[in-house]
Amino acid sequence: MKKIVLGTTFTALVLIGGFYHQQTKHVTSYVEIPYIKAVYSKPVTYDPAQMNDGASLIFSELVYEGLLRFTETYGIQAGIAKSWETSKDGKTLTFILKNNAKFHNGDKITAFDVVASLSRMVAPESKVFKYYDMILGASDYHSGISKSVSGIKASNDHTVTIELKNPFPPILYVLAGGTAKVLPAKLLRTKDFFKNPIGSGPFSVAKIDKIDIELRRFENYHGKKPHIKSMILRAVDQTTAMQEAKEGKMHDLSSWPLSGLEDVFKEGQDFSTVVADTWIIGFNTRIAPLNDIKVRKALKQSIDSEKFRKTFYPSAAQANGYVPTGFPGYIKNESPIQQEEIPKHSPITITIPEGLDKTNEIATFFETTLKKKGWKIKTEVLSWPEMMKRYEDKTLQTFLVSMIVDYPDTEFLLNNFASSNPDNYSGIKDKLIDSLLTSARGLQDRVKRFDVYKKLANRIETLALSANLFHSKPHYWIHKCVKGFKPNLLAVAYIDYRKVSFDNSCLEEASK
Amino acid sequence: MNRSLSFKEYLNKKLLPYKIILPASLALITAIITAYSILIFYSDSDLSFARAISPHISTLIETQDGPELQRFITSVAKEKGIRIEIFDDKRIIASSDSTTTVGIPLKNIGMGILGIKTKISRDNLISTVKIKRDGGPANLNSNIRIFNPTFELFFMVMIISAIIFFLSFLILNILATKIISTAQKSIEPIKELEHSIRKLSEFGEVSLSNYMYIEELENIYNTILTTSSKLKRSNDNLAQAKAKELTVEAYKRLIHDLHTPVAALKQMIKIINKEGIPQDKKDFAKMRVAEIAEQILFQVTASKGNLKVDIDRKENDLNESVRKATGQAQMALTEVQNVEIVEKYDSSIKSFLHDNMMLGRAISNLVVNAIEASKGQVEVVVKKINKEISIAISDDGEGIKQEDVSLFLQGRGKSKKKNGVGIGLSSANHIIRLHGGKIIYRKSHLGGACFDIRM
Repeated sequence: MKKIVLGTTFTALVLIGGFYHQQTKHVTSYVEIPYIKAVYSKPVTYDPAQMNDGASLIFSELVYEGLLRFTETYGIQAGIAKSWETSKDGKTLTFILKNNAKFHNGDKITAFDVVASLSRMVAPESKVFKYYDMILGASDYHSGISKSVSGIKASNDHTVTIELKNPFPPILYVLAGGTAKVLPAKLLRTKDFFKNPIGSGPFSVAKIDKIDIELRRFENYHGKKPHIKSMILRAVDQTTAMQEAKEGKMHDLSSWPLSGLEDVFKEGQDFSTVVADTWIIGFNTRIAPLNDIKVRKALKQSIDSEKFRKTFYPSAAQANGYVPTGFPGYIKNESPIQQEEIPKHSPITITIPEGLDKTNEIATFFETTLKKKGWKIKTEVLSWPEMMKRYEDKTLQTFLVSMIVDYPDTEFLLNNFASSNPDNYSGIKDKLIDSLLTSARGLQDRVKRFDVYKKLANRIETLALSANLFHSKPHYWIHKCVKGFKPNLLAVAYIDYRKVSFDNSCLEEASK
Repeated sequence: MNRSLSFKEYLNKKLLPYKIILPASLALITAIITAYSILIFYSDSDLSFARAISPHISTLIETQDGPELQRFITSVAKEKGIRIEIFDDKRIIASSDSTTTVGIPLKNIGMGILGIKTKISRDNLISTVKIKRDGGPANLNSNIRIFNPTFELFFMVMIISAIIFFLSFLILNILATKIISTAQKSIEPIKELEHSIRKLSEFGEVSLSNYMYIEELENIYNTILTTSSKLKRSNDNLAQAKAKELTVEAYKRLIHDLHTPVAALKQMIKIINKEGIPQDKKDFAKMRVAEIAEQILFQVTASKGNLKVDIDRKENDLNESVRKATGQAQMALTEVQNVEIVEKYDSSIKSFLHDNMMLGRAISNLVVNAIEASKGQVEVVVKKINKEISIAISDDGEGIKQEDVSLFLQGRGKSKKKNGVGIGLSSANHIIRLHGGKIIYRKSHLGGACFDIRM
């Protein structure tokens, strides 16, 4: 689970404007103009093993490539792997690599690169270990007991086998996800590798500066090459992004789940879709007074999610629980409100990320409505990188974030609350949750597993670990001259930009 | 005006609409039947497919496994070439081909077709099945909707219709060609018959040939034969009657023609006997008496010998013959005093092959008629027009109606006069025709009638 979207940036508008001007001045052919995608923040990291935010994952999907990839509809397709199979006992997966897969520096990708890259995911310093912990020998390697991962092996140059502790089919999702990327083994250990990262994805990094990441089409890409020649990931805040989109300087605002009612939609394409996410006010039980379940319950009930949704995100869906629509554990019906008395409490701070379209109004909303109900509430607005840092340090008390489902399986969503998970934002240590998570993993029967998830979801609600605000039903704004854009049901990061292209005649028309 | 068509062309023309309309109707009917059958087939197939996957989908919905549901319908839809949507009572839960329709409110689309459970829209056949499974939840309130593209279906229907059209068109054309050629063969005897009839008209007889195997033609042939022999008989009868009529005519003509010389004779005798007439005129009268008497004798002899009146053409002076005949007519009508007769002759005409007696008689008749009809002026003009000789007798009378002229020429007209212009005209006509000439009637430049003899 990652926190995302609400990032803002260190944006200097003057710089952006100037840069844009300089770029367009030299454009001679429309086919060659860069595709400019606005992102709410620059990637927090370029290292897949450290990735825990949406902006980094967007970068990862464009520049890196793993064994597998996601399709638009939760499916799995080939990445570097040409073919793969699972043993009868479900514990061993064998991947055969494509012969023509190369890194951006021209080196051929071998099975040893895969082993080195995947091993990094379970290394002691990895922040994504929780997704890979079912790999045989992963825990020993993670805790430093062993020097290699016994479950990840290269049988030859182009064959990789991955052994699991137990049969666990969702491992394929992990391997198709944004972190399981293959990087060149021999360069990985060099000191500044991630300052100028080399992958094997459809785009290579041309230049990274303060605002823009310039990507260039990788001409030796092993699959179907992208149509667009270059792409710019531009870190801007939402208001600026929308303004630039209106001026035709931006092609893609899919980083923000808009409502479709914004001015910018008067021109351009509107893709309405669903993504698997839940916007919440997370409660950190490590910090008083939220260690008190009574306070959490009362606060959860005092936050008027529906009013919030209708005020700020009217096109989104009502959230009755933590699990997004369409996933096991999703709570369909509103639970009856039993207004609890507001217990005595020390002051509570709600952190709101900077860069949302209405950051300040949102802060005011929480402050006024909760104060009115008798809460000692204060709000603070933080920049995205700062907020992410404090999130990882677990020093945020209550905070507005969007929890996206990294992989299309509730397992990955709910194990966020496992007491052993270092990424557990709530800090809850609940034996029932832990035991239910373990039992769910061991169940092959879909219906039985679903029952467990239901119990888990209810348990999480009972423990009041979040106030669930809404599930996004985003409208993506895309420039009218862009073709082939297709939303991804799982997450924005997985949008396939290999298929996107420009309609040149439209561009010419627009320039007139 | 339209050209008349040959039998083959006629048949082709008449059969043409059938050659188009029939295949087109057949193709249309086939298209409708095929389309309906295919619709039923597709509908049943889609519905049964939807029912087949319904239990598994029911499980996926029950366990809220959206991703698996999405993956499942995407893969089966791709394989089947269809679109699948799963929806609850309000909105679409999953869609196989679009990541932008999930979550949007459900729209009711398509229209029903009689006898088919499936609906049809512009592009798709839409089959909807309620999702359920044995032992599953009683009411999931969810449905599977399958969109099967109709393009393929209609394409198939179009192909089948086109084939049917082409085949039936081909068969009908072959059939029509066969019919036409048979029909044409069957009318070969008609041509023969036509040929026979031509022979019949040319030679009056025809031999029976080999076409007599068609009853209708045989009947026609027999009718023609019967009619032909009847006509022959009628012709003989007619000839006999005509002969009789001509005899009577000849008598009438003789009697009539005698009237003028006898009257002239009477006049001459009057002159001879009258006192105070100069001797030279009396001598001329005496000479004329002898001549007229001779003429009368000749005419009577001629009539005796041949009642059909023959002519005896000799090279004689035409101008002289006309002058004599005019004078004779003038003398016959001395009681008509105040008529001036202007005579013009063409001196270039010297001798001309004619019977001076008979032609004179014809001219006399015409001049007498002219004098009787005139108010004061009659003109007789002889001249050569191209290779023809024209003797035009004109008066300033009231003229004759054009439509009556031919009747008078044939001797069938009714005259108001006592002696009857009719006989005079028909007699003249008869004589001129015997000379190989004709009488043309026209309005005279004097205002009355003009009879122009052309020889």
